Amino acid sequence: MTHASPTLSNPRRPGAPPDPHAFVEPHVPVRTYLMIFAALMILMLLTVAAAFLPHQAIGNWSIIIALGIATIKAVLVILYFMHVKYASPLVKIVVISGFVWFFIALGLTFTDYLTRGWLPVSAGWPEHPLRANVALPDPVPGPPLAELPDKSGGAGHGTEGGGTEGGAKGAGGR
Amino acid sequence: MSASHPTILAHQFDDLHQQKESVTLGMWAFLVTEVMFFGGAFLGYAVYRFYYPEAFAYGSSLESWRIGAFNTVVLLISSLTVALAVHEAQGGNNGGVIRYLVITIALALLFVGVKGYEYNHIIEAGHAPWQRFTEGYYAGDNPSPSAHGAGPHGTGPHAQGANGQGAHKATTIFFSFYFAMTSIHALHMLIGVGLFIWLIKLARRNRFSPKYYNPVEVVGLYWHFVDIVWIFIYPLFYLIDPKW
Repeated sequence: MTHASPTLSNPRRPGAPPDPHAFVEPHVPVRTYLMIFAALMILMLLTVAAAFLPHQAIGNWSIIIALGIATIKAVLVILYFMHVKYASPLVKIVVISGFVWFFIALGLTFTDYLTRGWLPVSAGWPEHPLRANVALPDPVPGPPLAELPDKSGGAGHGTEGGGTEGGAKGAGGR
Repeated sequence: MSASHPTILAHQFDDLHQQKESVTLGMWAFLVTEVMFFGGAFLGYAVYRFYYPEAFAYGSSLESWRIGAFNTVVLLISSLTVALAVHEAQGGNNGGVIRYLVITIALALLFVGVKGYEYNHIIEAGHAPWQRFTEGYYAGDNPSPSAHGAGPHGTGPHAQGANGQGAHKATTIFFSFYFAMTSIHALHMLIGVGLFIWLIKLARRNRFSPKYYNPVEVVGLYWHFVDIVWIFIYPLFYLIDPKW
């Protein structure tokens, strides 16, 4: 499985005579499919076993192991079940580009969400979850958290005169 | 050799190889859009799991990892049978194609049926997001037990557990992602079943040969992609904090 058999390579060669019905497609042997299937089952068992490792011991490695195994499984399926290993370079590039673009989306999104709260500026709305990690004094104290749910009901129906002012502050951020 | 079926090669292609290549490339172009489609859902999942790790771990522990494991095995077997169906089509054995695709359809329906059982279980326990929208942004902030288990089946044991421990905030978000992503995945599977039925009809007319099996190949690509999506859904939704 580590080496590509010559019969599985691209059958059309530049010097070949143009015969529109000469068509030899790679046939992946059944044995390969069965071996990949066995590998997928073993990896699935590994995923389950890794999930039961004590979380205190491995911490964040839990999700890294889970996603790593899932990625190995996905690569096996793509290469062998989906025949990308035997496909033309053009197909390979298209396949890779799809996942590259996904990782760009993932990376750029988390440059935002992961880093919010690292700095005191623009730390989001008052009840933002990451605010709990920021040990910096609030330069402009917002309204108390207890008031926030009432404003969602209707800032315009505030009983006090200051209600609408606080609502605008809470909605617009600081 | 040259006396093959005249309609196999569509007139816009030079030869069978180019035709096969074009069909494969076209399917992959579609699958790349599917990568971005499911990728967006996984991206949203990642952001919210990053914000609410406890809620996601707790929501995940309410699901049965055994049912998820069963469905994973079912789906992996179905991927194998599809690969074997493609193999039979490459060999021109239309009967083999039908046999493996019928097995695949049975496995797919088994998967969707188990999924329905699982949905029913979660809805009865009162965890479906539409049963909890009244609780507000933080599900655990409100100590009043009235909103939990507001569904017609009353309060399940899990819902009471969620009530008793205020740390399990925002599991509504976890189950919103769970229902959205698994239901879209199940919809893809049902579409796949429809495509398999179409392939079986073609195979009954002996349409597949070593020179022309593109429909089987391409639908196989689609099915394996659905399998890959589940490969990621399973650990992300069922195995965050599983209970033995």
